[in-house]
Amino acid sequence: MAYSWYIWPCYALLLAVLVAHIISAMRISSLIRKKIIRAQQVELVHD
Amino acid sequence: MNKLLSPQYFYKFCTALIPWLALFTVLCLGYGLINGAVFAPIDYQQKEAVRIMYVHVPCAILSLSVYTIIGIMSGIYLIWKIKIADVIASVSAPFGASITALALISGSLWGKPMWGTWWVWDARLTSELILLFLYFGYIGLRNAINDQQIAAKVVAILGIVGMLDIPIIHFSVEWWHTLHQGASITRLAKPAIAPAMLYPLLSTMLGLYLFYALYVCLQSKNIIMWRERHTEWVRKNLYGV
Repeated sequence: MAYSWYIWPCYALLLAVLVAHIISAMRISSLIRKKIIRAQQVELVHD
Repeated sequence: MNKLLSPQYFYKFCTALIPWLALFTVLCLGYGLINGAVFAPIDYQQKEAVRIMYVHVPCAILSLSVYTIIGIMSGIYLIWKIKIADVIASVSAPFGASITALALISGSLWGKPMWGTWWVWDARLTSELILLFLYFGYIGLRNAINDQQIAAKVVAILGIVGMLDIPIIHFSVEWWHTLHQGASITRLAKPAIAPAMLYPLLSTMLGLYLFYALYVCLQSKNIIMWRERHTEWVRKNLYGV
């Protein structure tokens, strides 16, 4: 099959965008959890 | 229904939904994209370039749908003050922006071999570019205002006003003489596309809608957890008590 150069960038970009969104959502989740736990530990120390 | 609108139950609802959404997203996108890229027949006029359709068309349709959802959620937030509606609208905007950019880029890559140009200031392309700027405006405005409640109200107004662009994009190919082709699959009559091409296209489209739902669930959970961080249920959820 004679694939042209302009086909693959479309598929690659789509997959890259989808993967980037999932990774960012999971990373934000882990950061938020860590931040909340740290804030609660600081509260406990102050108490 | 009222129960589902409370952040705690919406969080639980999203948690239960995520594995199923992930599974069906992979199945639909896998079937659609592999068939689109490799097995679907080529077009007698466009040849291999027709394979861009399996990326461009779902992205373009989703870009309109996501903004429509933002507009509806903005209206619900302004009228009934339902926080979940604001959460859904706010997490939809970055996804909508990237999918709109993707629709424009893939369209441009398709335009070069078919029309002989990367870009024309044609009604469909220009109105889609305006949609991208609306997404940027929505994201920028929300980040520019520190007070969360004021920000939510201001961007909700932008979300509703911006919906004016949606019918303009959709009907641009009918209202003006454009280089862009008319509707092939959105019309109610028989689609003007062969089944061997239609099924992978519909599958990719469904897969992208499912992915959007998955992303909304994941990011909504993050926002809800942050906003409700002082509540007992978040504490229990974090420590698994």
